Amino acid sequence: MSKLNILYGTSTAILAVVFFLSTFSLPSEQRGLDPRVYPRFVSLCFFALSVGLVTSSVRSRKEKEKEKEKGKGFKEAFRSAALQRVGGMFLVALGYVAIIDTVGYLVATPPFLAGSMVLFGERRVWRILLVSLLSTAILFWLFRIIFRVPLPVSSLW
Amino acid sequence: MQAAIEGILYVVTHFPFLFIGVAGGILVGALPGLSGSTGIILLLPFLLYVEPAEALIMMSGMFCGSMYGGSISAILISTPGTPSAAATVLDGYPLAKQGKAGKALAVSTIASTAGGVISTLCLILLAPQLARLALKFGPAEYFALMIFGLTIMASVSASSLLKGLLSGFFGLLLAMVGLDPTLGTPRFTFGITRLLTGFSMVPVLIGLFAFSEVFAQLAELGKKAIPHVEKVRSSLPSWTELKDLIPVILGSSLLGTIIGIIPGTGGAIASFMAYNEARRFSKHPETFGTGELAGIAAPESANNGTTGGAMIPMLTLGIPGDVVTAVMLGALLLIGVRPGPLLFSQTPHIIHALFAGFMIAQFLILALGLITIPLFPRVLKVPVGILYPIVLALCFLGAYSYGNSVYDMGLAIVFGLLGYFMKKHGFAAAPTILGLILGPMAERELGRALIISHGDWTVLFKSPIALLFYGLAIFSVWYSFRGIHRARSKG
Repeated sequence: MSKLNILYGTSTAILAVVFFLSTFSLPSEQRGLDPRVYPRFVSLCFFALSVGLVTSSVRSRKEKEKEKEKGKGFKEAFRSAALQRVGGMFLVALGYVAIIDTVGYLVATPPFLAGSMVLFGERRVWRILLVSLLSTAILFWLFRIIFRVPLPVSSLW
Repeated sequence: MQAAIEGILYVVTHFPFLFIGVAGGILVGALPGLSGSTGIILLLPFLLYVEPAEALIMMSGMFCGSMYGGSISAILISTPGTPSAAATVLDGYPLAKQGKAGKALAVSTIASTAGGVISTLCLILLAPQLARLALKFGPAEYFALMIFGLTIMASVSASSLLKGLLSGFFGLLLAMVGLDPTLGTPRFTFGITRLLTGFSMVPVLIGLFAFSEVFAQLAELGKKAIPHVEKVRSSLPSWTELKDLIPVILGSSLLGTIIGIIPGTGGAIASFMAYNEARRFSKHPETFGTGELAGIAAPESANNGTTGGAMIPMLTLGIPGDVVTAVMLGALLLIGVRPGPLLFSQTPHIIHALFAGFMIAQFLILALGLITIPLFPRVLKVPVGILYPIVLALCFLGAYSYGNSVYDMGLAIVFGLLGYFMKKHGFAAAPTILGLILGPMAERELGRALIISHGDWTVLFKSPIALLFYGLAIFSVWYSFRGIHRARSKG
């Protein structure tokens, strides 16, 4: 975990530096609160906390030792399987967002729901078909007809 | 009196909203992995299309219902549906194993209702007084109040104060993207036109709280099989049993309400404190942990007691009492309701409807809880393969319907992944939301105070009320730091 903390701390420190440097392009104002003051204060605090996370992680030897004791093996394999599932879901969701404007809500949602159900371990085809089609229809009826939300419609046909 | 009657009439004529809130809350609370904050986020797409008062009673129902619902899975499957129900497991599950799940659930329902009623009475009595006091606040006092509010980041930081503060400041950083509140000039947009309006609260909320939870559940898939209580028969406690529980319920409800009022605390702390107190004052402390009814009544009345308490600072000052009220505050801002003293003076009908809704919600919990006890084991059997994909679809609709924008759907999924990794590596998401909500308010009030004082910074420290809030802020940070330090030294 400490290696990851160093990575997180470094990334957030870089983000803080980017924000701090960007404040130099902000206009200055003498009356009231100068627009650069508050952002600089926040980015400096964010930078200090990031450095704090890096230094505390470098110092924490206990954690490193624990990490070594844990070893790899099944837990690692589980972790990677879990990560693959999360990554898969992220891609399915991203794909859904990418096509919804082109093919419309009614066409894009059933395959998205079906894909998510498969990732959640559902294998029965009839159940996948029934739930994905029925939920899409109910949600469409509720939001499009009842709440009059202009859900995306296909630009193809 | 007339206002109370009007409030009750409003809730009665808009009963379906309260019913959906309470029933949905019980369901969401009972299902491990979903919590009150997720429930409110799932309500978002509906909240945008109803009146503010209807939205408020729906959210209140969700809040109270989910707090109670957490006890159902705690008793039946030894897994608290919400963190607030963790203490209920200690005696609830042993009772269920003895075949007395029905009685355990009935006690939990009665205690939750009593806790809710007492805290609602406190809400009705205290909130208007505090709102009246808050009307006297100027920008300097509000700025100090926001600083105090931001220190709640420390108390909702989970195990690491440093990581919690980092998450909180990340929220403050995100809130700065967009237009500067003083001059209206773009800042931190890096040439991206979309960022001119900043990060909309809806996709960030949905991503950090709902999507991240779905990802977490997906990662945990197939990890453990929970022993289930298959059948539950309704069984009410006897009058003698109930009479013995009355002092425990009353004491725990008051304790819960007081803890709820303190920003940054919440149901989990209240329920464990009440459990400890009940054991300390019990004539048979050795029976706690083996299926003692008082061990269920104490945490349940305390955690439901926090609901009304947590609403007091949120409604009167705009400072959330816990994670759920932080999400609720975000949702209220989205539907154009700005909590604060003006809410009481300018739109009293909303407040009266809320008070009435909160009270009626407690009795609805009692009725629904007692009637549906035999159905609870079935609720817990809902396949994750159906539940979570539908949750995802609802979340996407929520993200889309606020601005009719596919961009917001994409943003929600990105924040969802970010939230998942934050959660996985010990960075709590609640401080980010607090930073995102309170940061712009703090900046705006600071700007106002400095304009009024012609740039004199000492104006921030001249008011006794502001000094009181700074003092409370320092105490809040110190208290959280001490708590985490103690927890670490205990191992």
